[in-house]
Amino acid sequence: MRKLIASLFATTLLAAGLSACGGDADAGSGSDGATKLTISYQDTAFPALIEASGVLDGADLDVEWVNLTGPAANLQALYSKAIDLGHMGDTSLTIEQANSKTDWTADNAPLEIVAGWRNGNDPEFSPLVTAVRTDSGITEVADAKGKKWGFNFGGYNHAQYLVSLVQGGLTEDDIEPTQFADGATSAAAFNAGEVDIYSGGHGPILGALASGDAEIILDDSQTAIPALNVWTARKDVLDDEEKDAALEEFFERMSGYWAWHDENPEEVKKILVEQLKVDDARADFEYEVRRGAFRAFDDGLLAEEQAVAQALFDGKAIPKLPEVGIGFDPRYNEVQGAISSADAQAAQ
Amino acid sequence: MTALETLGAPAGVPVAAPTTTHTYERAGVPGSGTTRVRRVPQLLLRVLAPLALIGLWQLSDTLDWVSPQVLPGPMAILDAYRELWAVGDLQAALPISLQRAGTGLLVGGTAGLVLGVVAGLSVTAERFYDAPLQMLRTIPFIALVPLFVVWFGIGETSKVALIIGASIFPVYLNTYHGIRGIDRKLLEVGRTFDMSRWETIRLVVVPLAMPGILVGWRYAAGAALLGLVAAEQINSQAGIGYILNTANQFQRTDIILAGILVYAALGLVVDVVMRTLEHVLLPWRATHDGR
Amino acid sequence: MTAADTTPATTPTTTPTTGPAEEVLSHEAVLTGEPVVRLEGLSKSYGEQVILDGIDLTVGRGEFVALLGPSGTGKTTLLRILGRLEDASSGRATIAEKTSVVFQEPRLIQAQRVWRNVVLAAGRGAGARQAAHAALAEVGLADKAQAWPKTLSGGEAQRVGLARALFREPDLLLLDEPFGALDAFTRRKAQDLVLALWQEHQPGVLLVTHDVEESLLLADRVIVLGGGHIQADIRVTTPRPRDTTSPEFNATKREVLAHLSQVSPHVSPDHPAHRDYGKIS
Ligand SMILES: Nc1ncnc2c1ncn2[C@@H]1O[C@H](COP(=O)(O)OP(=O)(O)O)[C@@H](O)[C@H]1O
Ligand SMILES: [Mg+2]
Repeated sequence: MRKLIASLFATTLLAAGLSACGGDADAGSGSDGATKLTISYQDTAFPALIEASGVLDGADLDVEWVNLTGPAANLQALYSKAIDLGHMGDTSLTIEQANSKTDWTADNAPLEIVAGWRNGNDPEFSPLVTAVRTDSGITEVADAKGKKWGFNFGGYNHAQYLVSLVQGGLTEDDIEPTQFADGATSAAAFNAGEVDIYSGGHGPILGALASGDAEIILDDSQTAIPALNVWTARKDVLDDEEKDAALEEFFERMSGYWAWHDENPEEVKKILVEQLKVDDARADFEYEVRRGAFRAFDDGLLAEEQAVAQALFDGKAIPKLPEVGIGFDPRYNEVQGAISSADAQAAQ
Repeated sequence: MTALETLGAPAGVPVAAPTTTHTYERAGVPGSGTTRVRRVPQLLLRVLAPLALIGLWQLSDTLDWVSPQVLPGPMAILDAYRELWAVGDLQAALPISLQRAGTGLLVGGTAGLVLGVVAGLSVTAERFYDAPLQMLRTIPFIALVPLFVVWFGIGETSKVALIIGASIFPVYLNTYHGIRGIDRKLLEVGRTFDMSRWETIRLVVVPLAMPGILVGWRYAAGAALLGLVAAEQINSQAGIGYILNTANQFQRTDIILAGILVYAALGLVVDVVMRTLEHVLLPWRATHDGR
Repeated sequence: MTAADTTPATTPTTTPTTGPAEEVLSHEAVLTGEPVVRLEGLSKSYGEQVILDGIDLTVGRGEFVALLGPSGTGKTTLLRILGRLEDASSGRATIAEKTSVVFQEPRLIQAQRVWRNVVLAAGRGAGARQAAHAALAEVGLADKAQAWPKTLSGGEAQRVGLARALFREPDLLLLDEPFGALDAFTRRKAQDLVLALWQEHQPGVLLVTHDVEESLLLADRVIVLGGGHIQADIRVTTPRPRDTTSPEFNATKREVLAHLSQVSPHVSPDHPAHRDYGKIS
């Protein structure tokens, strides 16, 4: 007994010591009085592109870019106040909300999506696909009966998988679901021919598509999944007047980024190659898929997001059905020049 | 004795005992030259096998036996190095990663050493923290990245903390076992000759536990290098782990292999360093196992 | 030097205590010719098993005492109590402050050079190395000062142990079957060495041995331990060097063997002794 108490005591001490050393995130004012924003992105390319575009030059705010891979690290960094904006897919917050112990309300939601963007809905550059190996004999989803289907848990890749199943009139019992830890591994398995059918990112399977080993059977417009990149803010950041003003300026300036991207394809691709070590074909694709505009958090979008949540819930990927609108805060839509998906379609 | 022998062979049949005769020549006798002649092909063999392997590897690439996505050839990997060098990633990675791994190893290893020595010497200390440490030991640090973000933020602290976490236990465990493995009789010698506790630790305990301690550091160095991959998932713009993570995300098999070869080279460096350390710190063993 | 000369004339000035006690004779007290060991009613048990049962023993400075007895009678236990490696259960023990032990195994620190093994506790002063050389020279190992213990033979290692024990100029030298693992030839040489060193330095010596002949060859007194008690305390007055073939020597040998054949190793009858007389040569 005494041994147990001693052990517990030691563990507590250790944990206390560990946490005392931590917490180096000081989200405060920059040295020259300008408000500092700590913003995460999941690779180093976007920050480099924004830097090159010069849209933030002369701004009355300091941006510190942070590179965090995966939604989990971004969410944790948000909660621990290490960052002000975290980068993730638009479904991540839906899943977070569904897994929360307390139900989110408009008042108590700890996080809000404050910006969402993607390219136009050109099927050739859709970020999200369901694809098959050509040698699998599958030409439409219904053929996938009894086949190995690769996906990764959570996020819109998972939604793409579940909605694809529904569209093919199948359930998970009809196929051989093959779940991976992350999108890259899932794609690698598909590229290597380990699974017959795959739902996930388009970019990682470009090689297999180009060589004719694989074929897209459903893109995100067909599954009606918005597949937005989003920036999520912590509620107390939004409540901070200074930060709120800084974010407003940040997004206003960022609204000018997309035009620069469209006008400078060569420079963008050069930066993509340098930062991501991708080949030219992938750089061409990434250039296209990283174009875009901010999207308005209008009823149309929220209805699509709610449908995604429903698909995840029906597919038992989330334990309860959240009201996704709680996680979207449209306050910056105006300065972002955010457009509706109908407008995006029309612009095409 | 004789009874046993006659059991084996029919009586009356003389059996010649099987014998072998060895003639020994003194090694290194000048003029004999046999050793020198034999050593050349030996050396050639040593180099030949890896060279042949690399040749075969390149051939399989050139003749398209395997897809470059699965296994890029040696030339492709050289190209990957050239690419990483041109962008400046490789030059940036080594100093920053080695600094992270080195700092983590130094802090973690030292902590492990102190904890191990104290637990090895004091049953009270062992009762106090061995069990919690053993529990922490089994934690997969790769899976802890998000938690480390919460605990230590997204700066250098969390990266180094992860490496500290990875390198603390190998040193702790091996030091502890190294000390507990010391013959109690030798500790009695210290008591018999009125050595102070400090003298006993300095002259008896630490030197005798040193082989174990060095094994711990060897493992810890490996763990620290591997820990980079996890650590550099947290907000890094440079480093070997960063290169590997990015390559993994964008499926650059050639860069992944190039990164792995960097690890192999670093592993080799660690080995050389540890061998040198063993040579310096364990001279009493060299006379025993050496040569 | 004869046994009679070194028999203590005065008793140690220690305050009597009740219960288990161990006292240390100060170096100064010993120098005035007092005993280096004084045991009064000393007992030791491990749980139910009584190993030593009321031992009274006095050893004077410069006296060479051999302790005989079958395996498991508690010779090592007694020696460990004298070396302060073990506490007695009851009784009184007064022991010289400066005590050295040579164990059955050499117990050298493999990680330290031979000379450092010799000076172990004597710090690292500049003089330590030279002093170690001197001590090693006494046991004939001056040239091994820089060697690692692993490179020594069994006899050499035991001699280093002896040099280490003598280095601190002990008032009491405890030897636990130090020659047990040596071959006959090496053992003879080691015995001569111990004798010479004893005569040179004059510590009180307690030598645990299995070998009756060895005890008679070296000691002033032969004590036979058995059943937790001292069964016999025989004085050997033959002048050294002793002749093992002399009738006098053999008479004493028979006397000791007679005592030995009567003893059982243990006190309590419920611990059947494994009478290991075969080991007694
Ligand atoms: N630490 C111990 N715990 C229990 N019993 C012990 C311990 N040390 C010795 N003994 C027992 O005490 C007895 C005497 O041992 P020992 O002194 O080594 O005998 P000797 O040296 O005469 O052969 C043996 O029966 C042995 O098993
Ligand atoms: Mg013994």
